[in-house]
Amino acid sequence: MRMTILLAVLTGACLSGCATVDVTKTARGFYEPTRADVIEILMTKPSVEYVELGTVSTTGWAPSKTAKMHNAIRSKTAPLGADAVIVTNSGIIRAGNRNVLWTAGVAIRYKDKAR
Amino acid sequence: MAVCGALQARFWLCLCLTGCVSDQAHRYYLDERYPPKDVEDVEVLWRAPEEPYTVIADFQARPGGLGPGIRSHGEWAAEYMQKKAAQIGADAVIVGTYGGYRAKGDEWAGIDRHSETYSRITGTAIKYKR
Repeated sequence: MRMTILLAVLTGACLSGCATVDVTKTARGFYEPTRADVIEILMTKPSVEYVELGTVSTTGWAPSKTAKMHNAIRSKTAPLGADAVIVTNSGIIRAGNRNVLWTAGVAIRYKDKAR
Repeated sequence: MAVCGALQARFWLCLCLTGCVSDQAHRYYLDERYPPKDVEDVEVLWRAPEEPYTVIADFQARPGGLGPGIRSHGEWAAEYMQKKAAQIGADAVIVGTYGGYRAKGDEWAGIDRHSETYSRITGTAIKYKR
């Protein structure tokens, strides 16, 4: 019951000032976390070999907050072990009376340090 | 009877909110199967161990809870993955929690006020190469 109340408070407090980031792991095995600050956001596939770690998506951003959104993606893919995220899709949807920015991508790890 | 029914419903709702999982998707990589173990015999790790190991399976699920299934604190994820790993006879499971809330006011990529929240739990079940 205490956990339920805690979750309710956390959810209520966060909903107005938070965006959500969702991650689905697709890689086999475990990769050590990386530093969020050095994760690259790529719009094209890199020329070096890499392994895919998982998919990432985020929504809830004002259309002008693209840089903050990218930082959110960095922050939440670092635990997965990502070196970069390739953006595969991005757009703006109408939610109620406001425009909301969303992005989806693939978190990757460069092969020269995959193991 | 109606009161009992209401109380039971409330009990199961609370239980579900704190312990339900969804989107459970697991992968087993080996041809051979190991006998199950006692849960307490499975190590819970949050990093890869130094000792050489073989990955035998990967578990993945979404935690139950209020809102979009985002939870905080990883203890529950560890318990869930430890039980799954014990079922397949793993020596240890490396637990991961990913996704969650991001405060829109956060300015630094490396500073996450809601780093304890997550919308995905994973477990990599391993056998040590002893």
